[in-house]
Amino acid sequence: MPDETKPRDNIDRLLKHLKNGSLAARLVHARRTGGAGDPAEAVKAVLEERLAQVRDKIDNPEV
Amino acid sequence: MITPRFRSLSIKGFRAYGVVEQTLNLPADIAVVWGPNSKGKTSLAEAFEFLLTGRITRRELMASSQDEFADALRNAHLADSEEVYVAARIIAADGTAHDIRRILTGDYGKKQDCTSRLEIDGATATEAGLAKLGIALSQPPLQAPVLAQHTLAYIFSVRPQDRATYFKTLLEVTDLDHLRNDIAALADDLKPLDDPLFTKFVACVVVTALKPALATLLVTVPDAATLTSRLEDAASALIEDAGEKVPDTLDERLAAIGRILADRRTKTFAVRGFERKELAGWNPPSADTWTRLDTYLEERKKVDEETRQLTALFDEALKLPAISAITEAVDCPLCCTESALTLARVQIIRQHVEDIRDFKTAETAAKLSLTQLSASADSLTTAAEAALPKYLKTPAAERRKIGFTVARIRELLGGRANELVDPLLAQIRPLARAAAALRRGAMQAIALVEKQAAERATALDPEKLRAVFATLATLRTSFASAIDSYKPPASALDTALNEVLDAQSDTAGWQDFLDIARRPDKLRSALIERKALATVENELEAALKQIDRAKEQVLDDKFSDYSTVIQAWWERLRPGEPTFFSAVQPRKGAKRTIDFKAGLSPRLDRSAPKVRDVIAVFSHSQLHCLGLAMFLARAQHEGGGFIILDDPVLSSDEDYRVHFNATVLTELLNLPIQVIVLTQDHGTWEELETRYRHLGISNAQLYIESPAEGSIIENTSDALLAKINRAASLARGGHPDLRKECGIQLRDAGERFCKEMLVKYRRDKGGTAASLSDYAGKALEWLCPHVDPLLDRDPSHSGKLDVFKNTVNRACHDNTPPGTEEMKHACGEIRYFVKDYLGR
Repeated sequence: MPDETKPRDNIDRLLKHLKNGSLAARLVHARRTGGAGDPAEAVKAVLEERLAQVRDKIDNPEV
Repeated sequence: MITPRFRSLSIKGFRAYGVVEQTLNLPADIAVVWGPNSKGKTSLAEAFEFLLTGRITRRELMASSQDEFADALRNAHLADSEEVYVAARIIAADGTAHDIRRILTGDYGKKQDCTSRLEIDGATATEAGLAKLGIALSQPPLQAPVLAQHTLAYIFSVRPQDRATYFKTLLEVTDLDHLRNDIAALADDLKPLDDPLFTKFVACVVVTALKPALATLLVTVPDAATLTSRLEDAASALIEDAGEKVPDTLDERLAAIGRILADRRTKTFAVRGFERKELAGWNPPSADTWTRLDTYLEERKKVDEETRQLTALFDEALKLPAISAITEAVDCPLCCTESALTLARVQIIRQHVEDIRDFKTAETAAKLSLTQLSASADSLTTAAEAALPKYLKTPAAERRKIGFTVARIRELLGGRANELVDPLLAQIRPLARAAAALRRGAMQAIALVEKQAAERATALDPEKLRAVFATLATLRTSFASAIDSYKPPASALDTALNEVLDAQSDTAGWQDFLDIARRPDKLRSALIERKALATVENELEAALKQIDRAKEQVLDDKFSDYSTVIQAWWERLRPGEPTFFSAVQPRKGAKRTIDFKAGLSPRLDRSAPKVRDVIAVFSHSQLHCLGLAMFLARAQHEGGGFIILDDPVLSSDEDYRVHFNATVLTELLNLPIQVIVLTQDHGTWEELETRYRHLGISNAQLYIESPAEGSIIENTSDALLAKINRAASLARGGHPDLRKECGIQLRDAGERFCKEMLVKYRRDKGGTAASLSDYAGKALEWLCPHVDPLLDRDPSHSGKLDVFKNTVNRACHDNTPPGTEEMKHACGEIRYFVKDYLGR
């Protein structure tokens, strides 16, 4: 079967169009891998991590 | 893992097929069936559809005339008792063989669908069972990989909006929709919780005097010192705005603002009437308190009244040196009786003094306990009084004088009066009652304590005191409960009233400022949290937009990929034409509207093409080709494993039949996809048989002897002469693979010859029931010895048959098959036997 017809994962295709390391890419990646538990929890963890970073940056702008 | 393959298809009573089961053998990956018009080709194609889906597409597509398909599946000449079914032997994806069968249980009616029962290996099954065998169906209405004239036309005849169904697999991004929704749902987690401190801050920012110092805090959260400085600036601005002198420190400024605020509010209404203090804590009398009283009573019992009265005399006597240092009896200092005061008597006096000392200590402790009890009851009264709102402690006349009335409060609150005042009024009476009861209880307790303290020596009764203080504790609990019930409506009314007063006295936001400025650290935390949530909410929104854009690009990518595959099939069918298929693409702004685009080039090299919709510019032949290209692309994309093509080439399209027969079929077989071609063109049938002979192509013909018997399938590749002719043409090929295939065909022909000889012999002897099927599965090794005795026309024939057997066995099993001449000789031998003994 030629390469162009190989069924490709939609999320794979999606990640190709997202900037590597961006919040969007990290959220999609987390949703895909999902860790051992609930994928929604994995996505939430990414957002919580980002929230903690932003809080810290506001609290300590010099760091 | 392989893709599933059909190895045979059997039909009974279905559409053109009659009561005798007809079987199409499909031993190879390619088969071609020839049948003139109206001999059962379309019924054969629809038999595949029915087997796989339980319906026929033609009826689904002809929505306007579905009622005309009533009773269409069951052969019209079939007796009611006869079963109608289509069955097949397939090789599943895991390489195992299975028998699938679909029995028609109810034909189409004018308004109703047909019904059927699917069986897999004899057991009732569902379409999911087919999927487990690797047979994956597409979206309705073209579910089965069966291409017919009406399905070719379908994709062009439906509206562009409806073509999306055909391309459902391409459009399938439901998983991305779910992913996007899961991520979007996180926005709820970023909604800030209701933080009263932040709400107060927002109320402050709109105060004109406060705004310059506070507004920027919404944009940037400063460090703690800067925040305090801003609050100082804001407080200063507020005091200056009130026309008063600004104190130095923040605390002083806040105190000043508090005073100014209270003054301004009071000018409108005596709001301080609501002031009250929190109910102070109260510790009931401790266990020590009661122990001391009990000890006092015990010590008092030890010392009688007369002794207590002589205590002072005893003390003074023992201070006398003569008595304190007594060694022998001396005269009594009081009555002068000689030698009356003996050592033993002095010792008794000393014991009395000792007993009285313990009593005195207990007495002092008991006095302390009584004082504490009195103070405890008194403190309770004081705390309860302080916890009551001022207006409850102010005489009614005085309240009226300062305008503190319910009517005035209602007037100030306007439309909200009832909802705020009534709940408060409902709590005032219980609170007043509880306060009065507590007050009475405390007074009684104090009175009892005072009475018992005064009559301590004779009437002290700790049990009575215990009882009265237990009652007091209960009354205090009731009062505290009444206070708790009073607070919520009082707080609500206080807040609402202050808002009204602040609005009237131009102090709106002042109280809020006091509340936030007194807790700068908590204010900063609230500002940080709010800012962080807003920042990440914006980032999440941006991320969702990026995901949405990426999703659109995924769709475009998928269409582009698919377009490329269709273009490839188009090029195989119509290579090099200046008018060509350009793309299948979703319409901009309407992703589920599908357009087909053609390229129109003025030059043979297809340069500078104009792009147009294919429906408008393609000829019937080109549209037909495009439909075929799309069907093939979809089959390839979905990887189903087999396709059935009912007259895929128009009779009038000689030019591209060549490309179909050669390039397209070869490419399909290379994928690999099993291809079953049904054609009314005898030339195509012959060409395919010749072209794909090396692949063991099976061929069949359809004919009808009588309408009652229905269509008959003749597997012509199974016929004896057909096998010999095919073997002979293969023998002429130089390639070893061709001679090997020749050997396979010759072995089949030899076995068929032997079986026909045995059947003929038995029939000649009267065995009318003799049949080829009696020898099913018998190979040359078994058949030759049985046929030897029947080869009686020349003594050399037996040996020739053995040589023939050895030649084809070598051809079938050796890596290097016998040479061309040897194979040709074997063909000649078996042809001779057939002619000599069977007369053909």
